[in-house]
Amino acid sequence: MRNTRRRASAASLASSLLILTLGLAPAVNGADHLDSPVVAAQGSVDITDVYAFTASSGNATVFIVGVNPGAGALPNSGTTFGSGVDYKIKVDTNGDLIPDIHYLYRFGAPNGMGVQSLKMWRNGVLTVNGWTDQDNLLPGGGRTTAGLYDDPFFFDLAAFQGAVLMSGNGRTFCDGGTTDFFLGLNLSAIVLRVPNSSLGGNGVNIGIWATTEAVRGGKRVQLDQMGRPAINTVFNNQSKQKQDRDAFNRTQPSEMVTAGYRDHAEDVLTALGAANPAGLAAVLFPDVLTFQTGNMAGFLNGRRLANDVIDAELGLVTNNGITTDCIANDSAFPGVWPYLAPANP
Amino acid sequence: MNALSALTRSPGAASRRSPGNRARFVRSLFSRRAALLVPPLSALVVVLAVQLWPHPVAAPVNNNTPIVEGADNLTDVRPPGEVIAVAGVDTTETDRKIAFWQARISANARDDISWTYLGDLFEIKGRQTGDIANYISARDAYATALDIAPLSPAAAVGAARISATLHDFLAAQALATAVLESDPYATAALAILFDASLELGELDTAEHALTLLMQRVETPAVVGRQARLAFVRGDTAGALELSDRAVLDSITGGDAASSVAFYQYAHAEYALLAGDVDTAQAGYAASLVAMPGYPLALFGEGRVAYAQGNIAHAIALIEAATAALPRPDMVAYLGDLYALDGRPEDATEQYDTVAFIHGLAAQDGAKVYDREYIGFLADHGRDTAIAIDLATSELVARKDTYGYDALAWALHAAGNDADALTNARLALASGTQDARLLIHAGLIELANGLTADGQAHLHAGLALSPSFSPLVVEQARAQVTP
Repeated sequence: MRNTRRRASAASLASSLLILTLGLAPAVNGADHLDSPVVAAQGSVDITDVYAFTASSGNATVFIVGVNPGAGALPNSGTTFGSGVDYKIKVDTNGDLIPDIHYLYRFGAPNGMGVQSLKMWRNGVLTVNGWTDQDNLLPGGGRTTAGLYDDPFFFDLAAFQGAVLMSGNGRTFCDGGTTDFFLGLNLSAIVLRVPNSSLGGNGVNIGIWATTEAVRGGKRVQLDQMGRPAINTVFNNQSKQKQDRDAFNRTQPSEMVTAGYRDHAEDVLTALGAANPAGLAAVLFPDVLTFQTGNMAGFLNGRRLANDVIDAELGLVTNNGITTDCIANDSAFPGVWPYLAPANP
Repeated sequence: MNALSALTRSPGAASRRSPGNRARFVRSLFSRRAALLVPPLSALVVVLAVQLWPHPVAAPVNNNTPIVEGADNLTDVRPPGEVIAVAGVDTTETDRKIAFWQARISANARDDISWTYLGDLFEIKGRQTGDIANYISARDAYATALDIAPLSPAAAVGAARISATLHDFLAAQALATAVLESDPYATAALAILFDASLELGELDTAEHALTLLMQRVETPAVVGRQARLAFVRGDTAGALELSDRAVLDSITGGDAASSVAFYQYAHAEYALLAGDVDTAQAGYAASLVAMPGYPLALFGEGRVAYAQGNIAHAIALIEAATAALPRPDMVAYLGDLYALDGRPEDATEQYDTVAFIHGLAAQDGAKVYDREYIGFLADHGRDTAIAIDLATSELVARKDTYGYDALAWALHAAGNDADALTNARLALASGTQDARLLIHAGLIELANGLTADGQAHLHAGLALSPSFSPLVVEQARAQVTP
């Protein structure tokens, strides 16, 4: 009985991991809509991952936000940014969970080559007026670009579906059929590097999250929000809670604890057999990617492109019940600007 | 749960599963078509949901929900069979995506995830082009995914949706039910359960599914379904109000032009069914503004023109509609207009096309056009024995209002007016206020000597909507007494 329950919870957990982390549905995403006679791109508001890490100089921080999961391959993902969408990177520098710095990106309609105008406002001040697929310098230091890249994420989705979601495909983690579902897949990403001086200096503890907003029903509403990988649907994972998941995506980090998400997460972690559910829930909520500027370490200090967050989170939340999916980073990161590997053909 | 895959596996599917076989199969259809067909058809065969969304072909695309994680196969509540199929639609991006997953499958044929995405994309291409061959490919891809991963909810939902699109409502209902057993709130499965149950005449099951769906989602796709249930239950005014709300919601929700066009078209259909030709005309026009060349709306404008007595204009509009989307009922309607216009050879060409398109679909195991074909045969007194056989076998599983109507009309065409009357009365039992049902019943009653009932139904039907079928309407006009 107990085993069954734990197994079921693990299944939910993992499914959620997938959804949020990868921007994919647990059981394979479907065509979610057609935007026009040509298939549209709801994927353009779907945040796949948020990364934050210290650049090799030690004096600058790199933020990367991905959208368009499986860009150009999944039914609902195109290869360009939404032209009516606000993409925001939010940074809390004093621990009150209210953004002190926000970078707002807007993109124009793509031209025949898929190039879009790129405008970026820092705290409401137009800071960059440039283009995708090229470097745009920030006054006072820093640079930004946006475009199509190799998706840095890596995971054995088929094994996950077989072993955790019980899809019946006969796969388990680390069996002979191990495959990285993300090998060869692309995403659309915003890459921003800023000097640490613009974030308050080195050694400052900051919180980072990203949002997408667009007009719905005549109002501009927040559609997606992400800090750490997998948080939302790991803990709000049953379909009967999907309303909660939507609500979560619109709940500001400062309100997440009072809205009950941390307590709920503690319950889920208890069911999963985590070693210290209350402590872990307190670390994971609110859903903000915590990072110390100038610190070269990776996840849980920010997140580096090659960090195996799936292995780390599986181990954490299952108290090392599941420790790996046997898939390692598949990308050849350049290590320098723009950090992401080029798009796959 | 092996029943899942068994349900979606059609005999012979395995032999057609490989892309190469598929391509050969399609090519052979095309060459047969080329040999047989005089009129150029822009699409091989076109699926349509005519009775699937009895006349108001309900709601499409659900894209105004701010649900990002929810935007997956399990929460997608688009109705099956909604076709865009504007002439000259560019499918380049879809084709590229199809090629991507086909390449993955070439590398690993046991990859159920890729098979499922392939199914999704063929389904999209079917909506884009109206070419039924894509739906068949989607069905086979999902069947393969379920062979590999029998409990994959995404593959099961895809298979359920494509089954409904191909009018295999029993399979759609069974697959949706199986998904709901493990996840009672899977909204896509609820939507498919509603669609399939309604088509099967199980209105209470449909209503229950819709009630649950409404608790989860408030999108035009759901409001459109409410409209549809209201209409079938005889509440035409309610259907009009709801379909109007779906239009407004899709506009204020920032839906894509194709969605807005669809809801405007659907609202116009209800208006036409209610005999409000002006509202219908305005709705079709608005739909065509949203999506120029939209064949369903062109067909609507053509029927409005016929209702207004302008046959030449009606012909021009429906010629344009069928050039993009040669759906059998549309082609038959065009043939009828040619016949009324004194062009019997042109009419015959269209009628032959109807039979050919139905034959192609049936060859592929798809029942999509069976109901339209029954109506076509009965309207023209052709092969009435075949019409009766098809209608009878359809009714075994699918006891809906329009199924009884189809059988009644086929029996009447064959001269069996006693049995026709029994079925016509069953068709009227749901209370659906549709000129088709009323006029069919009226003509059958007159044939049975029931003059008072027959005249009453003819009057009611002609007042309601004088445009559903030129031939039948002419018959009714000939027999109605002032």
